[in-house]
Amino acid sequence: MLRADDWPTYRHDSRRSGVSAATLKFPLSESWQVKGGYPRQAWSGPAKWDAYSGNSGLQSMRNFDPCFYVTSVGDLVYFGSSHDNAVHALDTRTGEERWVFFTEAPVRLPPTIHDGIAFAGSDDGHLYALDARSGNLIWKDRGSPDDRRIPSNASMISLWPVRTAPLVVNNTLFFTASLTPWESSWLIAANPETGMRKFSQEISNVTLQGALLATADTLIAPQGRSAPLLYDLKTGKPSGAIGHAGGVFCLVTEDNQLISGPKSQKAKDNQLFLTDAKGARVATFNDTSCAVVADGIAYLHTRGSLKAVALGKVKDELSEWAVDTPPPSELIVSSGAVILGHDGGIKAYSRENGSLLWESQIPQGGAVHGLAISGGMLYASDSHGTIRAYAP
Amino acid sequence: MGMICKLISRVTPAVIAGCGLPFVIAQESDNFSGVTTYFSENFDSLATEPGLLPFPSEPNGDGTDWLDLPTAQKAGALLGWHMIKNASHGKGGVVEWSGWTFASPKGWADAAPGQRREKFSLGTNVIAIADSDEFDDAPGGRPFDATLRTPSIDISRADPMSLTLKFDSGWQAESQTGTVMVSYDNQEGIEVLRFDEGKSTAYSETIRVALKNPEGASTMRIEWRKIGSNHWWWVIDNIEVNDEQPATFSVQPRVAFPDPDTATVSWQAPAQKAILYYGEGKKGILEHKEEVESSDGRYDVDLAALKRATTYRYRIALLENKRRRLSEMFEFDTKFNLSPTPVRGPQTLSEDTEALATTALKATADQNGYLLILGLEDGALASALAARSRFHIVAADSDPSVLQSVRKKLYENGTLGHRISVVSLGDNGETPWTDGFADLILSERESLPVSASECLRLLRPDGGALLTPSGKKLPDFENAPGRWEEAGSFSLFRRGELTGARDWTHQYGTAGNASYTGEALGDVSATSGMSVQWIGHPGGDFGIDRQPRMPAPLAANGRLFHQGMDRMVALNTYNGAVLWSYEIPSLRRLNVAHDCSNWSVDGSNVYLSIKDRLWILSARTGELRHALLLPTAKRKSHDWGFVAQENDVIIGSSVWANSAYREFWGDAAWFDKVGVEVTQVCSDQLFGYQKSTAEGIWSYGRGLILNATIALHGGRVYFLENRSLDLSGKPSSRVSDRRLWLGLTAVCLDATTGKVIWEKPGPKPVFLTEKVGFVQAAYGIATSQGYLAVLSEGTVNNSGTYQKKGNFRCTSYDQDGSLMWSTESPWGADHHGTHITHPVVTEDRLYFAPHIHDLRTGQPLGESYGPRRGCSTVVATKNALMFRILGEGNSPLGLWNKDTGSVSRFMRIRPSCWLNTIPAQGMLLIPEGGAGCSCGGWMETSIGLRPRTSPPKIAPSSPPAAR
Repeated sequence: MLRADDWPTYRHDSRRSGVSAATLKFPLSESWQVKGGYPRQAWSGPAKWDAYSGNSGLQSMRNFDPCFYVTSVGDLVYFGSSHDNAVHALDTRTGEERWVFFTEAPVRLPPTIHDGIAFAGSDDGHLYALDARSGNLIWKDRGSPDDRRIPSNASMISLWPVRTAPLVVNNTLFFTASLTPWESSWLIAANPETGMRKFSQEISNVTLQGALLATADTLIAPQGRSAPLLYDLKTGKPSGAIGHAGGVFCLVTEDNQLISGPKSQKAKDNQLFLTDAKGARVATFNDTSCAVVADGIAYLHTRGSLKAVALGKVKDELSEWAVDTPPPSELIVSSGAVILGHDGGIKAYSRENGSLLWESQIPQGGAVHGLAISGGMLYASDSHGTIRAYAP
Repeated sequence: MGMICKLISRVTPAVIAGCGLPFVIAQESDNFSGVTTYFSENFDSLATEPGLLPFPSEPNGDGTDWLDLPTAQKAGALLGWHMIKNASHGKGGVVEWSGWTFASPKGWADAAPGQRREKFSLGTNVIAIADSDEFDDAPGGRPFDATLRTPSIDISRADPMSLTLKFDSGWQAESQTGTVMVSYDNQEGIEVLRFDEGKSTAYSETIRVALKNPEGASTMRIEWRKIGSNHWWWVIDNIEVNDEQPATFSVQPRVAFPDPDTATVSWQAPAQKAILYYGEGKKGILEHKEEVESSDGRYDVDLAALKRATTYRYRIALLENKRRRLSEMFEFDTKFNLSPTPVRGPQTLSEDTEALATTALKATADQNGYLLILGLEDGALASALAARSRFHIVAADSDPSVLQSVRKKLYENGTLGHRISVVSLGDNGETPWTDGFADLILSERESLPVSASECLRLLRPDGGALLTPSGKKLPDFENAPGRWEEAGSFSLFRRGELTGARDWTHQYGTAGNASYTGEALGDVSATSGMSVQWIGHPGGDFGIDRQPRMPAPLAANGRLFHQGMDRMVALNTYNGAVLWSYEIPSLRRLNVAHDCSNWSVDGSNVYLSIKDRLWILSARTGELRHALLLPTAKRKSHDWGFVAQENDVIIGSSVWANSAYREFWGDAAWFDKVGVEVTQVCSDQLFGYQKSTAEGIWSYGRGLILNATIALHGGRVYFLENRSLDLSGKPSSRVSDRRLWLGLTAVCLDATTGKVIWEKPGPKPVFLTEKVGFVQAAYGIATSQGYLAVLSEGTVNNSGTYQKKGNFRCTSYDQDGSLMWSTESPWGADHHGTHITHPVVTEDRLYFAPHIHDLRTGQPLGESYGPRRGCSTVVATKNALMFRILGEGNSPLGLWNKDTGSVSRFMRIRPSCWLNTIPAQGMLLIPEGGAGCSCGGWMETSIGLRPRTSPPKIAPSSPPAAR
């Protein structure tokens, strides 16, 4: 059974909200760290610039695997590795490895834990269902009927890698198998316990990547350099795309609105878009690369400041508070704090007034792209492949 | 008489400039005499004394905007300076910009938003501005002709010929002229620098001019003069005169990455000691240094423990006779260090495994790629191979217990995944891998667990090797394409080339520039016939962006070579593995449509033009084998321009130093506009080297040789030459003078002797005169039939006004120089590169854009190809043309079927704006070059596509495949 303060999937839940109801007791101190080797990312960064348009500082739109993100349930913390092609489970208290499961290609996103099963996708084209306590294989399913593997960045990967964090909604497991628009991609819904497929949707001309997420009735599949696609959660029937969206940063708000970005590289700086359930644009956040929304308040970083903005006011960005911070590479929320990962450290601010509650420097570390809260602990994953656990 | 400036002496730290930051070399203990600065001015004091004033008429100021010189001097600032409005200078105009004035960069940029003035990042606080564009915004503001003159500078203590003028400059090209004059002891000024139509836009650069201060000179003055009208600006800042001599390298620096945490900086220079300063430079400091010595002037300096994905800056100080010569600021980026992480192998190996590992690594054609081990015992062989090489090892077996055991062992020693993939083999003898990816196949077992035919399928063409465990030749391979070789106690089968595969060794495929090599590409004529063979590095960040018409990738002997932003990489053609790479600060050459490429390859070597040398690099390892020199008379003044090679001959050319295009910012750097941007780069000498001996064998020079027209085929060098245009005294090989096109001569030389075989009157423009008209591009193509000279000319009316149309005009000469025919073919469009599209020549066809002509007669066939969207140029395979197909999917790369005219698309693949997609070696190779385009959701990755060997399978809806 999940606890209220578990973090069972990428960015906590099927909305990828990054919001935990758990309380963190500050100050925290580093409890342990694990160096998992350097992440081997699926894609390179963007071009230096668009010289013709005079547009520099282009955004990466496929930066979904910059670190080893973690999930955690009970006394185990999990991550997938693009370095050693494995799914790992560590002891939350000590960081010691409790089990490891080897796949045949990079694992780019953390496993989703549901009813004692850890679901992980691999670049080898398979979705693996593992016993969350032991790591034993329960079942596996290859996303594409075909199994063809090609060289890619010193790995042999499937032409249909599973690069969308598995999603469990309404006791249905969703995953995709997709790489290029020239081969059919696959969206699969399965019984999480048995792996029996509920449907398997063949899709043309898409590149499904980044964490799947869902509103109450719609599955959202990011594509990176193209608009996220919408599917009916029950049938898999396609229902269009969110034109005012793009990139691989996506979250669904409590009101079934979508915050995502960057849409394209036309903007001169980072942008996130707030769109309604029908894909209509509600607001644009300039100079912003990530956000988190809790209890109707959006916490986002723009023009050098972390701001708390009531969602109803986002058009004019009337903030509840603002505090100067480094540009965030990740934002999450606990019951009382908004926690910001950045290049070289972590900072926690009061959700109420923006006061600094705690910070930790990682002098030799990279950018903290992954944060998770579970069991009263904070986990931070950085671009150098290190996972750090912080406890009161 | 102005005041004499005080001599300013200083010893390090030396303030140096780069990337908008003032850099300081941190170390103080260097054993050299220091640098004497005779004059410096950055105008920054004006911000406080007397302080900047509000613009009198510009609306966008913030109140601290500008000053003119008289106002500054009333407050005692800039004494001794002069600003002269020359006789023709407009009597009215916008007062803020009448002559050279001083303003904050922001105030100046805000005066005309959207013009990219903010790109002058080297200019800080207060800058000097000559802005004829803004001056012209009020009546009487035309023309602009003003001079800014320094005070008299005391140089009495300077050694003769020792001084350098350095300043930061922002220049927007188009119909304006800028000059720098220097006068000594009040004598007549000498022009030391000229910017004109041949100078492309450079928004922010540091200019260094070596001054020839004469013996006995005691004072000097410097003048900046700008002439223009409603055409942009010239801004300057941070002026300095010192005796810091620039470092001169006999071989320019390059950076290799031997392991993930190390960079090796290599150069050659006539100095036995050097200091390499390097660091991230975040706080304006190069915080590290390496002091090195070399008895022969060759330096290889390892910089260890570097951060990953980090841009480092470095400068090299050459020390000779206690004097320092400091290089400009260079940089490298460890993001492009794609070296595999070293791992440790087993401490001991069985005798057999040792012999197998040793033999295997001797047998591979390259030093990186994919080794496939079919059949495992304990993983020791895999582990040993990973430890001793840069290969990625794919280790496969069908026994789950063996797999688990090997995985566990490799995981525990830190090798699994990033160096070795352990993969389960199916039970039916089939394997999941794509065709032809494995550089080497071998086994830990006595026999291979998959069939011989399957092994053959997996072997990479053109060098892939199978090492038989039994040491016996496999009978199944008797008729296989390849050959058996002896390999110690083993037998080795090496797979041959693909049928119909051709190398792409020069910019347009052949040394003759045909844009067609005869590549069959598996007889494919539609995109559905192609399948992904590999995908990955390099990505969008490797290059600049899709725009600046860079040299094309090349491919030969199983290797693909690609250039990015001052960097290059060698990849395995068939699996995309990074073989080796260099960061080379002097590599960049752009606008090859109006110049020529800087490289060519053959099966063994890469021939790379870098500054004044031709580097000959081992294609296998990247090792520098030779650095060929220019002919003696050109060595101090010229760069290496053209390069091509055939059989045992290398052809080179000389151009004035710094003539090659290197600018890449703004729409002007798309090099596509009619008019001023049609400047051609021309060589003044052509010469031959013998490849086998690296010795020069001949040289030739009678005029201006148009680089884009030089073609080599069948032992003959062809080109167009102008022998009448005298550009002496103008040290640039960028030629925009219309007279270039008048009186062209077509020349054919013997490639081995340089002797003229024939020379004939060249093609003539129809509309162009000395005063009006323009030739947009010129190309030369050589085939077994002779030489095609192509001019792309815009039409103008009697008054010289461009009529928005143009023609490709082609003259055909046979091998003896006889005129075979002339033809013309109207442009399809005058934008997006269509009007400069390089023609394609196949066995019997000549493809202009978009019309098709008969190669034997030159006559149009009444056919055209398309629909095409411009930007990229066109190349051909046996059955298809490749270009951006207009329409669906934002006009991606596609194939046009030569037989049927039907088109098919590779959705979301965008080629570069010139040529980055080449059909070569049986593959369609697309090293990334199209990134940075805001016009679509392009894939932005490198891809190798191969012809499908079987139709794609139909996917059934299925239950879980395994449980």
